[in-house]
Amino acid sequence: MIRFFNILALLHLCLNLSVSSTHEIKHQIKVIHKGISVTEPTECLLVEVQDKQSEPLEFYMDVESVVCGDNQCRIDLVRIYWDKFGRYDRLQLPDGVALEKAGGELFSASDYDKLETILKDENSSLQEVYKNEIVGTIGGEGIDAMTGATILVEKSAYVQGAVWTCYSLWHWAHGNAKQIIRNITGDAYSISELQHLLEQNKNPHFAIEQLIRRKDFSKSTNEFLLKAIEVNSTLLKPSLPYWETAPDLVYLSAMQQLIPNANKTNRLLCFNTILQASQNLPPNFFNELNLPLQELTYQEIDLFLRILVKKNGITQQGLSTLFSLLNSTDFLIARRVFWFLKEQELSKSQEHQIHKFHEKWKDKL
Amino acid sequence: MKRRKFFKNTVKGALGASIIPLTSFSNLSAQSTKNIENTEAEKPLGNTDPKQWHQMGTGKKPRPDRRKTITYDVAIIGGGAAGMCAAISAARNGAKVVLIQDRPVLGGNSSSEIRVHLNGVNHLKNGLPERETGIIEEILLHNRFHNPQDSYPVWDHILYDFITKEKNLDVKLNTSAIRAIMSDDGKIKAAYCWQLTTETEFTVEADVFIDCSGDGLLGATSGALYRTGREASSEFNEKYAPKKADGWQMGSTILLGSKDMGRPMPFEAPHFTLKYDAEKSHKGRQLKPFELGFWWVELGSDDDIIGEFEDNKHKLLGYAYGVWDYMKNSGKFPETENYALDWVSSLPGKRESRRFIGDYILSEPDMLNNKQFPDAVAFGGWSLDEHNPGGIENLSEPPSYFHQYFEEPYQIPFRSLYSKNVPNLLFAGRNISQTHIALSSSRIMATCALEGQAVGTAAALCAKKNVLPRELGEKYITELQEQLLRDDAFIPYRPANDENDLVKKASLIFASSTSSGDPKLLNDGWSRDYNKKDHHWQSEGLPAQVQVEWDERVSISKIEIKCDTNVKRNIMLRRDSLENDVYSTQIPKELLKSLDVEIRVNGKWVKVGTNEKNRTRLIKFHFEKMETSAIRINVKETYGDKNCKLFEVRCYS
Repeated sequence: MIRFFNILALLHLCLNLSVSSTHEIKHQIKVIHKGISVTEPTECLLVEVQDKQSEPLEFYMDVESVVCGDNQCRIDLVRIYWDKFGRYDRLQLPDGVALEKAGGELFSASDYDKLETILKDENSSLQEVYKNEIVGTIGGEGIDAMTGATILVEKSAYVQGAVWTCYSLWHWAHGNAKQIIRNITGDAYSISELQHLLEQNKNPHFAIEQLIRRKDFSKSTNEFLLKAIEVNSTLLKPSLPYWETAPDLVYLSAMQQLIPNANKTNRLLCFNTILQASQNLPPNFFNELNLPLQELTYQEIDLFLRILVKKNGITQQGLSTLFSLLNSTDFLIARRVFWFLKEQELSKSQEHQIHKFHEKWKDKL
Repeated sequence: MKRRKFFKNTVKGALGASIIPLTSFSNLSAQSTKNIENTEAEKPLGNTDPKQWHQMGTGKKPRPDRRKTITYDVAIIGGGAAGMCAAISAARNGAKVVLIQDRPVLGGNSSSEIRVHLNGVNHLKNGLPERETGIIEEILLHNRFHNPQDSYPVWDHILYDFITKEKNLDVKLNTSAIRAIMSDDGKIKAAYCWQLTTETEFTVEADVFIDCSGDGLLGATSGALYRTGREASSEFNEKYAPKKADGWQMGSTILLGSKDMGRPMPFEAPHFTLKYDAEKSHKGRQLKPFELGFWWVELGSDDDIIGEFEDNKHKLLGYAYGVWDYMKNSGKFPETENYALDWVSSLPGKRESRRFIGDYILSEPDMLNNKQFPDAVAFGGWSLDEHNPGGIENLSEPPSYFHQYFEEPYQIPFRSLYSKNVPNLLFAGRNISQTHIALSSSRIMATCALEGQAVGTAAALCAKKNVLPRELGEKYITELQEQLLRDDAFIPYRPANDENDLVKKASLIFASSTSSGDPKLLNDGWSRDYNKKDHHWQSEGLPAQVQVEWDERVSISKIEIKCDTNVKRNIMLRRDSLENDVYSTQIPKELLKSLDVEIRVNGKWVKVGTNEKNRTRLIKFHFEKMETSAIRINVKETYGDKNCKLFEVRCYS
């Protein structure tokens, strides 16, 4: 529901915004709004509302209600509120101000409800729409002419007669002000508070993002991250950048814990990270992992072998294990392993096995 | 409908669309010259005498003989978007080609002489483009790399550069194909041409002729059937056609340009100016933006639009200056005070004249119902944009009827691209076999360019197989379509299925990372995401690798990759250098810039190709044939995107 302004809020809006209140911090920020320009940022004033402990409570910004695409809109100043994690919270209008639709008609109660639903929807189809896609304009072959405007956005994504208002407000609410808010809040959190969020599985993506920003490679943070991934495996992907910049020991220990428990998707992510990472691996790194080689896909085997070569991870023990894959039911895997083994220093019996494989499959090698 | 009133009041409006072989002109050229004294036949050297010309440098008394017979596999008349793409595709597919262009520059309506935007499927009903690929895209990308200043005179030479670098292709500029010379079997034997600048008569012999000239004089003088005017709605069940057939053809336009001089610039109209009556004008005749002219300064005809061209041009110049005079001197546009004209076209851009008759006449229902043609070779999707035929002399009506947008692109069949009665004549551009209403959409240049690539490829196949276009369509249409798709043309709902493509037989395709799509889609035959279905693989970050594995050994000498250029954004040269999310003046950031390809030989990867400055969507690597069981594509950098998107990987032996 839209909550209308009380007297105090109206005063906020109408007074000169540079006057500071005791619980408010003002941040000059630059925001890209798709409706204004996709390249030039717009300067805005973001207000942080703090609680008594000077912690961020919520944020707001006063914006024009509509970035008008057809010069037929009435523009009002409205206030958008976000929670401290940058999630859209609510919209406030000054007393006496009501949003307007095409033809001067005012928003009805159900229009406000629909607008609220639209603004709450992070994945609204308005997300991908550029302003020139909202209204179809028909062009001549020379300079485009504007005739017969047709609204091209799906109907559920806007209030009938107020497509520009919905579009404008959604992009204010879900633009890059969001990330700026997250970073301000992140800076106000201590490391242990961020760890706590991970532990409680409350806003884990926020916690991971901020821990990466803070470059905190403490043992405890590492453990909190690993535990969080154990509970929710989709957190591995956003967490990888953390380890990619971590010191060798933290990185190695994390990979050793992550790979054996990972599903295929996460194992590939880890293998790719290892292949591209600057950190080195100890020679027996993979031996200690006890990878279930027979279960790996061709792509995993291929990556694994490339890692062995690139990171000097070839050991006798590792080689012996690989020989079993020469009998893999997936010929591509067997052939890939054959070529790898063929390049290694082998015992006589191992060479014999390689020779046998070659004789059997020489037409396909 | 309101606009019909205008036509009812015209006497010539009742002439009707009719099939007219242009026999009088061809008869004149073939017969009547014999009866005139002093003819070429009687006096082949005219009145010239060797003593007439004293060459002071050499002291010789030469008598120039400027008559030449030249022979090609394929001759293309017209150097606009359709003709250029026809010439290049024919040449690349192995034919020996000549391109005859009657202007000093290439580009037709898009050239610096006319400056119409090279539009295509710019905006479907959803507001987004479905941009053309293939040769026309290659040309537009070439322009993006070499003409960031968006200069039209430079664009002329971008085209000249592009065309003249092609092997197997000769270009004759300032050369008009005046008439067809026919053989006894009804085929065109040669095109008789006149090169203005060298005073040379060329007799251009070829196996196949492609008329991309718009007006279609060569085709007309060959006796090819054609129509002008508008069909009755009943003939093809066209809802936007008039009830009765009539002779109207959409007009030609004179564009102009102005610039801000930074100081007041008074304007005095020349004597031939025709006053513009803004009060009586429909609001669709928009006067702003005014800087780059008015596409609706247009004049059509209900009769012989070609014969009337110079008279109409004189009037059009008058109307163009009339509108400018109104802007400058009516007092209603103070913003024009500092503006002065700095270019006014002297060559009106044509929209319509002859439409040849092929084995199939493409019509409005085919387009609106998205008819699926087994011989589809091109597509279009500009709206049904039928200009008011009265043009600027019918002020009270809108300058164009944008009848309807398309939900998705429509197909254009090969049978609309060759003559019904002249067996070795193909055509592409606005003169193809279609109704007037169909033309209102398909006349757009990038659509014409796709037809051009189709007929150029067809002509080369005709020459290779020693068949004529109709037989090619009947027996080898799959081969034609597959070649077009391989060359990065797109045919809606006609995925490639080339049996020679070895990637079709691959056992496994995988990638080092995937942010969207799937590497398995790289051999699904679709070279773009279409109708909300993915057909791509996109990396997550760069560098990234795609690997193709075969169970059995294969011999490979060619790897062909189709990367992304974002077909949902237009990249044509525009006079206003528009930069937004569907029009861009930039090199597409999605385009792959740097990559290399490797082949696995005896278990070891061997690099067989590198391209550090790629500039095309279709990336080809040719190398000595090698036996292998896998290839690897290493994509390293795009022109700005952090990920790389591919649509297709092909390999050939």
